[in-house]
Amino acid sequence: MTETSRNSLNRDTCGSHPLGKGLRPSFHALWHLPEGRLGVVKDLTHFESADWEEASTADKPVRVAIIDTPIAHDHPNLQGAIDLGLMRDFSLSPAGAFVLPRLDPTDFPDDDESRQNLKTTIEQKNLENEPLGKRILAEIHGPDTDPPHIIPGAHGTALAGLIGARPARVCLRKPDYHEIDKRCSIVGAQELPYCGINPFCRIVPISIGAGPDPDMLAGALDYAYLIDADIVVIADSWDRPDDWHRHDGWRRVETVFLKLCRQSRVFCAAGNEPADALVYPAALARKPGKDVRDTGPWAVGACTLDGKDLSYSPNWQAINGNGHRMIRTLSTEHSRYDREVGARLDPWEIVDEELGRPPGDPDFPPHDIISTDVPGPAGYNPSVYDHTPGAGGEHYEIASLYCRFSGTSAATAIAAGLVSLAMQSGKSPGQGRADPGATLFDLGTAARLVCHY
Amino acid sequence: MTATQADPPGKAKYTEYREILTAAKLIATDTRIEVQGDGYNSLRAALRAYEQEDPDISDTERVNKLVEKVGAFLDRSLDTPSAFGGGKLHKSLHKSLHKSLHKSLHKAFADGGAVQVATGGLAWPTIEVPWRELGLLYKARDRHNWDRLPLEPPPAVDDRMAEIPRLRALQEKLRLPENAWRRRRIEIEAGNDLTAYMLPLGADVTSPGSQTAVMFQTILWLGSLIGLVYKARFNASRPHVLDPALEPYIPVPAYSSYPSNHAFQSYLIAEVFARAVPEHPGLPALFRAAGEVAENREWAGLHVASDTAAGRRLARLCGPLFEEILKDQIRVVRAEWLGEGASR
Repeated sequence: MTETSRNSLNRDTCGSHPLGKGLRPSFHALWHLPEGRLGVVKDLTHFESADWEEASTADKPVRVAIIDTPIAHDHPNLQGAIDLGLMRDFSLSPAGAFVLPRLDPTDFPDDDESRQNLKTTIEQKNLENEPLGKRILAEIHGPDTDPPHIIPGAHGTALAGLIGARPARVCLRKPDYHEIDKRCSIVGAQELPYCGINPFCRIVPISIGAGPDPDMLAGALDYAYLIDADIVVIADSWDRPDDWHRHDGWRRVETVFLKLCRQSRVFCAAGNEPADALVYPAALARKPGKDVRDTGPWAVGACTLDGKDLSYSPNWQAINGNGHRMIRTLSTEHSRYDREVGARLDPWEIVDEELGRPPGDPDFPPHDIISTDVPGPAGYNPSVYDHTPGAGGEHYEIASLYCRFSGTSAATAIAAGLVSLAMQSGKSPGQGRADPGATLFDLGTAARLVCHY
Repeated sequence: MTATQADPPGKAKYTEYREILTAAKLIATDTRIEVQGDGYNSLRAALRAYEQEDPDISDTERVNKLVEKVGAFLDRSLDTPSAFGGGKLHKSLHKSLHKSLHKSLHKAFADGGAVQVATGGLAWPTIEVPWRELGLLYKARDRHNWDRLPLEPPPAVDDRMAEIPRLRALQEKLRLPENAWRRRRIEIEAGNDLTAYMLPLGADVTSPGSQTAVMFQTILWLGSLIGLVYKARFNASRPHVLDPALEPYIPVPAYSSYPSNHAFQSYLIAEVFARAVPEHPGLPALFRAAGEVAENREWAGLHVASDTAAGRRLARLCGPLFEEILKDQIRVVRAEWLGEGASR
């Protein structure tokens, strides 16, 4: 054993050194929330938040629509966050179907009220004979139908958690590892201290499939418009053909999308295109100007705490130079390693030969964004047990409830969560009207966006 | 920090949320995530109750072993922060690596590069008859109604006839020298070769994506069976029956025309892979490749466009079914792309 490796072992057993296993120190899963970061809570000890307090007493919650994979609405941290009455799937038909066709008003009064209000909206707007309105009314008034066969996806579930997860408790059971364990059932309550940015909002999952079907996309966008969502999250890229102008379906997607942007605040992931371009539909984001009537959505890129682009995110200056508007907020991974950003983490500069550990850098955050995952053996972080706990059911473990999340998708969810909290808490925008894309998009910047843009 | 009687419901929630957040912490490390806090005390209490109340335990040694075993487990968790219920935390997809892959894929497809490469089929892992998955498929029939999915019947014969002139035009173009590569692809794809689906994902002979190839083979197997159910139901005539002047480029299978099984299987592969690794940057390219395989059957004179559209529609309807019956394969495929071992 080399001297270096002995030293590293000693360091790992010494109490004064960082906790954690592997090559990285441990970190709090909600590290992004306190002041100095996103500014949602004061600290991670007491979790005081004037904005949460204001949001908790708001007349009505902000409605956030997520157009993505189906969301695991049974996730314990998403109980109460998901509007079960409006949750709708478009992956199997252009007019969609309610994920839960029948809701008991006694058990789900708020969700049932949402659905009844939707029915009233369709009738008031005379949409009974439009394909979407007709289909929805048929489902509400018609005979019981089977729910659509959809399976929750990890991507949508992670988006929902970052935006609106609530702290919760679950029933945890120690698994029977041995015959003798069966004599002693050990069950206890376990806190799940995870929280989204706005745990008082209501999320409407609008699920779509991965295939770029314009009819499906137009149906989902129509629905987001119909339910009058305050915020719409599209952390996805839609691969439309180069000759899309020749296709009625794609022309309709563009029309409905821009109409939606005029009604709601729409946040789209900037995606992984070349550094100076955005994916579609984020590419429809435009800076306001006399020649630009439709400013479209807000594109969302990813940056470090000090506003440096992350390695995979489009370059902010180039995007803005091309006439787009883009904001940037936190996500997982390190900033670019180039002459502009400077040396952050140089994997070739090894100080620990045994572990391959590079030198620490105070500016390099070892944290990943953590969010909610599909419970059980599916999802980004699958359980080791072939057991999917239902709503209120017992859990054998809690790890599968959470996952690392990254990309401009995570940044988009964070931006949407911040704006939803700023709207619901009536947060003051403060002085000035700074460009919200210029620095890390935090709660204060979100308030300015809500007020001025 | 408890809610007072005067607290409105919303404010009580705020108080409750803070109680939970301050009582315990969710801590992530390199490979694990766990709750640190005192929630485990209720488990210790449960153990004590068991020791005092279970009248059937008479074997002292056995009880001691139990207490020692569980107690050690509890102490380990209570003396240090509680880790009960915690577990593995997988790494997320490495975004910057995938961005590079994504760019190269786009470039390859824009230049026709990948298309050119795909004109020679590569050697992919093959499988025997997937008996286990076949069993799961048939067990799931009543639950998913996969033999009664709402697939529209084919268009009327006149409408199908109206699709024929396009096939005649494609037939002429296929004979041109510059379409030699497409002729070669049609020949390769007649045998359900995987090259068209694997290259968009970045898999080649140097990184063969074995688990992914195995899953794709399984999808081809199962998809073929489902497609034949619908072909038999609608019994639609092949294009060369509608118009005997058509000369299909390859032998026409004995099955009827609607829906196109190649379109169905290709899009099904894309749909299932999109559910397995939803953030894979090659997904758009995979869907496009699926479309090319499907369209090549029209070039070959085997299907009209409405057959292709029906195959794609059937693939979407079958997505949830396949996600369920292939859940074990999906787990290892995800592990393959995330660069980690399967979780169990």
